[in-house]
Amino acid sequence: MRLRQGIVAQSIFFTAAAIVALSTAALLLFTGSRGLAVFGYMNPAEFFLSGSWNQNDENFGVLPLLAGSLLTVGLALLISGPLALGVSIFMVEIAPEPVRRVMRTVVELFAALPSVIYGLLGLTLVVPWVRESFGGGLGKGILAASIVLVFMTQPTIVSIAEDALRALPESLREGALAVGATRWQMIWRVLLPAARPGLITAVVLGTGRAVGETIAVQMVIGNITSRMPKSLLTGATTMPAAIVTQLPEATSPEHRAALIMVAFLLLVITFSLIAAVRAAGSRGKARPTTRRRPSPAAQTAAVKGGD
Amino acid sequence: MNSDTREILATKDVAWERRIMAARRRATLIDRAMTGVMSLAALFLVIVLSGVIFIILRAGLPAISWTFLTTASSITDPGGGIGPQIWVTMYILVLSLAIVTPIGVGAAIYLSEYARPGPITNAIRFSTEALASVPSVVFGVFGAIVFLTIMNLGFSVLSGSLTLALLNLPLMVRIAEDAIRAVPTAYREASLALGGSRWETIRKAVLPSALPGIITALVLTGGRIIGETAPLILTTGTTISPNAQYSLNPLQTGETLAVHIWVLKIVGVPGLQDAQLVADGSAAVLLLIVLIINVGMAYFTNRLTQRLRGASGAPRAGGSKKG
Repeated sequence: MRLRQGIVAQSIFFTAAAIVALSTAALLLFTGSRGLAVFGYMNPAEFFLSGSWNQNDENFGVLPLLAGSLLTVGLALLISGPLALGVSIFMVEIAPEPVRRVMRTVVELFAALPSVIYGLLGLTLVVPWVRESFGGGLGKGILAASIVLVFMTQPTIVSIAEDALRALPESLREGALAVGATRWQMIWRVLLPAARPGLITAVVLGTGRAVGETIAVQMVIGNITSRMPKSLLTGATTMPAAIVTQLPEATSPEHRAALIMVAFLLLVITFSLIAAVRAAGSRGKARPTTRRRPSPAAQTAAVKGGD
Repeated sequence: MNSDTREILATKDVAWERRIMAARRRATLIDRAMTGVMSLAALFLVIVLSGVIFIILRAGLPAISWTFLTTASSITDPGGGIGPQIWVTMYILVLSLAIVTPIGVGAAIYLSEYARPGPITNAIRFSTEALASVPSVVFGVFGAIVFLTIMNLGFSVLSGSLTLALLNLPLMVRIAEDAIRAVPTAYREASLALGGSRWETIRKAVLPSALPGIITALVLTGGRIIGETAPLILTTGTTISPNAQYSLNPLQTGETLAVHIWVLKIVGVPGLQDAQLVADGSAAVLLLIVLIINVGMAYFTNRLTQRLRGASGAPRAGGSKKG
């Protein structure tokens, strides 16, 4: 009786674990097969190389979406990376314990804010600011979306970079200070190079977060899919924004398949980022063996996928 | 050593020391400047966050009243509330937690108590990690394919809950597994030594100690479910049928609070004059819920760690019993 109970319990738990593994496979399988079906309607060259995505003439070229995503994410990381790095250095090397705790709560709250609230603030603050400072147009566009993303990527980058810096052995700091380095010389010449694999991981996962962000970007980017982005100030789109804008209304099977293909591309991009991080992690020598487990809320900050 | 060389050495020393002093001064200056820059970066985030909270609450709090929270929304007349949206939000919250909790905790128990190192465990771990990185809109697309089309559930509360359950699975597994692993090995050994089977050990010794951690996982997952937008637009829909506003039927379409804000601001409700006010009010309600959850959680975990530290002497072994 007890033995049988044990076996039943174990198989239930194994089933639960198997469901997790199978979900990932199903995700790839279904979006992949339904998405690749688009090549039954158009050839891959058309899909990947055409500079227009227009449901009216049934022409689905993914370039405007890709270019929009690339520009938005690139611009956001250009600001967000250094900012997050500065904050994490402040938290590990400069701030006294109580201040550090406050900063951690602040970073966790940035992660906890719903995307739609970022979007709402983007609409009421960032878009008018862009319109008035740079003139012309509605203010909706790549620049506005990037500014919103700068804040949305902070929790991911800060929490991972903070862990990487904290995991460095104390002897590095002592050694640098003992030979007379100032704190900044120690940070710049010793700590940052030593923590590099972890810092790169932080930025890569921040990229993943930014690439997948949907609603906040969709609310401020203007959602123009029919042409390549003209400037940072005029309307554009990103891959997730196009999906959420068009999929609920897509009626033709071709349009649906094209949008699902975009989702599949997103999936491929994020999986490659994870694979890159893994590869770098197994190669990098500075991977600490005794890694402090981050708090649950910090983990949410780190893993939260884009909404 | 004659006096000439001594003189040369002395002058060299002075020049050398001057250079060192200059370099030191410069280094100290740079050090101070960079300390300032990094402190400013942190201060900037604090200011932005406080600004965000202040702006949302200032715009939204005046709209909030008991009537606003309980009456049905209107697409024509001003003065409508968000009662049905809150109802749908809570419904989806409960339903997806009811789906994700048993699977997530079950998988976590398997990974921490049963799994042996090997290809199957590796595959499960890699899947969890990969699943955690998937953008939520992709889950929405997957839900639209599998739950709406293949399982023919249509735009419905059930489709949305299933999608969100899947989306939160990796987070649930990760936090629950951490909580279970944090249970001291001594507890397991004591239970096994008293003749308990492995299942009895898990049920009576491990799970009760891991319960606070599992509750943390539940609350954090709940916070994410409440704020989710994109996957729900693709699976639950953006409308609530006027004649089924507080329906328990999981096959109804639905609109959560977060989606409601998006609809009001982006899709637009042309006939509604106070759409801006309703959106602001909804945003304030959403923000308050999220703040309460997170601040409450921080307080709760702080208390918990303090209590655990207080009861110290007990080994806080992180490792789990294997094999």
